[in-house]
Amino acid sequence: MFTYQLIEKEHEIVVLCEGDIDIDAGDVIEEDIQPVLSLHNRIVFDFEKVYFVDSSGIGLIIRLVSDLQEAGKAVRIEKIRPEVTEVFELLQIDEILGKQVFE
Amino acid sequence: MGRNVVTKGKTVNEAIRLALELLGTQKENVNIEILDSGSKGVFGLAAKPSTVRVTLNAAPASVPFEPVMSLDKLVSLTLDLNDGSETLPHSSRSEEVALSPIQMQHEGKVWVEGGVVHICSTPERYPLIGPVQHAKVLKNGVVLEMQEPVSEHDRIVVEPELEYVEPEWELVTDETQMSLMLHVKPGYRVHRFLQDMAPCYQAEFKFSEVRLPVEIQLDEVMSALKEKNITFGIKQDVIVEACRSVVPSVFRIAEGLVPVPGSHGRFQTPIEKETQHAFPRKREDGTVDYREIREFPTASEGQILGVIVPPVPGVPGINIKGESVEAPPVYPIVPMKGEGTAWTDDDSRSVALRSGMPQIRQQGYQVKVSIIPKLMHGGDVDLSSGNIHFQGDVEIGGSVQDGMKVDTSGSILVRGNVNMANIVASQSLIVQANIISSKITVGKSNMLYAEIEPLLKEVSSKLVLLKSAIYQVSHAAAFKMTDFQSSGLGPLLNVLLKGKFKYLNDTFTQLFEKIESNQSYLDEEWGKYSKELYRKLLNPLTDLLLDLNDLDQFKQQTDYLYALVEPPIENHVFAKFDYAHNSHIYSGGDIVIGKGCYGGMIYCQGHMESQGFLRGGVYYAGKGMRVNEVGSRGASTKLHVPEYSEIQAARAFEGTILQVGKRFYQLPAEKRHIHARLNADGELIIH
Repeated sequence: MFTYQLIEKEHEIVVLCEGDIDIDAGDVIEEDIQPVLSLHNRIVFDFEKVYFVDSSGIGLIIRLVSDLQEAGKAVRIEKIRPEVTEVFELLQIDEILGKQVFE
Repeated sequence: MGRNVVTKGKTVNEAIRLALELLGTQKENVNIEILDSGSKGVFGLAAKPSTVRVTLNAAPASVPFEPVMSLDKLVSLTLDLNDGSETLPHSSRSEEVALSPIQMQHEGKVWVEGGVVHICSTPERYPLIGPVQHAKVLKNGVVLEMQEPVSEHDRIVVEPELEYVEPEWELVTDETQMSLMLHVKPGYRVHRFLQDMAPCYQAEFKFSEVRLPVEIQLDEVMSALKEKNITFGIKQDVIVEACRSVVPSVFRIAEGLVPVPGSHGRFQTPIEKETQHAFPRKREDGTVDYREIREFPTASEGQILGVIVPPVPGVPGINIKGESVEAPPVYPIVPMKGEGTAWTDDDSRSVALRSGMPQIRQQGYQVKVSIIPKLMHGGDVDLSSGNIHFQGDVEIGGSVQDGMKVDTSGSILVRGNVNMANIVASQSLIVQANIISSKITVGKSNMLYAEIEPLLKEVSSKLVLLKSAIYQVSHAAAFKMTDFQSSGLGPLLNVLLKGKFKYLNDTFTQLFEKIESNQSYLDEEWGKYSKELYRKLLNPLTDLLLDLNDLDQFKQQTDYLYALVEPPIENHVFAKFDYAHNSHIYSGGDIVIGKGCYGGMIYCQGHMESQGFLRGGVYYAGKGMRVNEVGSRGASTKLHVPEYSEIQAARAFEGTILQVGKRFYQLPAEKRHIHARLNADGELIIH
């Protein structure tokens, strides 16, 4: 089950993610979150409550972040849990999205 | 008068002891005068010490000294005398002895005779003896630490040290347990004997040495063998020799029985024999006789193309532990179905089902025999016939005319000329007449294989890593495999090929493009492979449900093709023609020029042979060239071979450039029987 909250701040918008980023989260991310984010220039994903990922979910994140980056937006992913970091490192996601996303 | 001391003590005895100590001698060697026997006083008060004068005897220690009386007696005597001024009898006896000339010679000296140290001290002179290397010098039973004066009353014993070094040895088994080496560092002992020494004031002892080897104990070695469970092939005589060795060395003391390898199954074909004249024949000196080329090999219907010879197993051996060692395994030939052929007699014979050019492809232990279709084109290739593209061999009865193109995945035979045309043959080309202003490429597949080989190798090795990366991620704690059911491995592969395996993705793309753009020169199986590659790995929108088996399968296909392109190409690709004029000719194999070349650029990876002349142009041969006449007064002519190849020319005109590796030389004058190559120092030698 995947839910999210949007917290708008002065210069950025924070997407508080909760649950698993997997194939089932796809619709929510693509249909609900993506349109909202296109209005902001600085976007932060808070992954503190993301416990599991699958390959479709990762593919989705990559696509979403790449699209936002291409549109000239600064994207960061924060507070990734160590278990999820392990998966990201194994797949070298930082090579695909750029290290600045994880700083 | 000898050296003397006057000492005092509580008693006479104590005073004498003190004096002896000061003189470093014993009472046998001295005369003692009691000057004052002293008195004990009352209760120790008003005690008077005893006083003695002790004088060293001058007589040599070796002279038997007869003790006149015991000390006690002497003391009592002197006590009786109660007068210390009187000397005792014998007190100056040595002084009275007249010295012989020999004694004179020895006076104050030390010498060695028959291993015994002799000393002749005089009151004026004491010889000096000090510690010495390789021996202990004992003075009266005490080891000398530093140089000391000695007198003839001292007992000097030199005890040479015995040097003893244990032999060292070690047993070393090789990995295969087929031999056992005994590494020996021999031991020895050194016996030293005190050499005779002429009399001198300061002893310098010398020793003669005898060095004796110390043998290794045979039974120690034998029990070590037992401990290591070595039972087979032990060479007792070598062990004995090793034990007695006096120089460090290594002995092979046990040897197993090496298994005799068998032979693998093989495919024996009579085709090469029957159509031998169709292939260039090797001369006895290793060069190739291209005049023997007449035609491409052909097979007729029902002809036996080859027979499978079964493998012969090897004979097992025995290792030094007495265990049986298997001979290397032998593998049978696996017959594969080929086009236009069939296997008969329990798949042991290959028979042609139709006539054509037989092609035998062996890869690992798989043998595939096919009959390649042949296109017979009666007349010229011109605008009315159109270009020819064909998968197989092509035979053209006439000429290939202006601007036309012929390409095939097999060989091409042109009975006429090739005139301002373009020919590409994956295999060989024979033009029976002339090539004029044309572009020719033969052995295209050789060239392609060389380009594809590294790509396939990369793909094959990286697929293994890709698989292990998938395994690794699948086992990460936070990774869910829920979508494998619905989407397969695709999404994960996608992510991996974007990130960690980005370069593999590039290689996939290169390989795909290479195969796609050269499909006409490659067999059907390559096309199938590149489609698989695209479907499984390159198309991001693939709807295939991929699993690990698909990857394994793809790796197998990759390895199959790699095995095909990896070995040096053995099928003999060549281009042969009479005359070529201003043409670009490339051959992945050899080039044979019948009568001559004018200008142009002739390049081959194999050997180049010309019976005629080469006038103008650039000629390159990867494996060396043997040409007849070369050069011209007009256009420049250059012969080029790589570093380790040679140029041989029967006659070369002035101005011809010969290049071997990076070194080149322009002939200043006409020269005959040229042989150009690099020597060991990389210098170009021409003679």
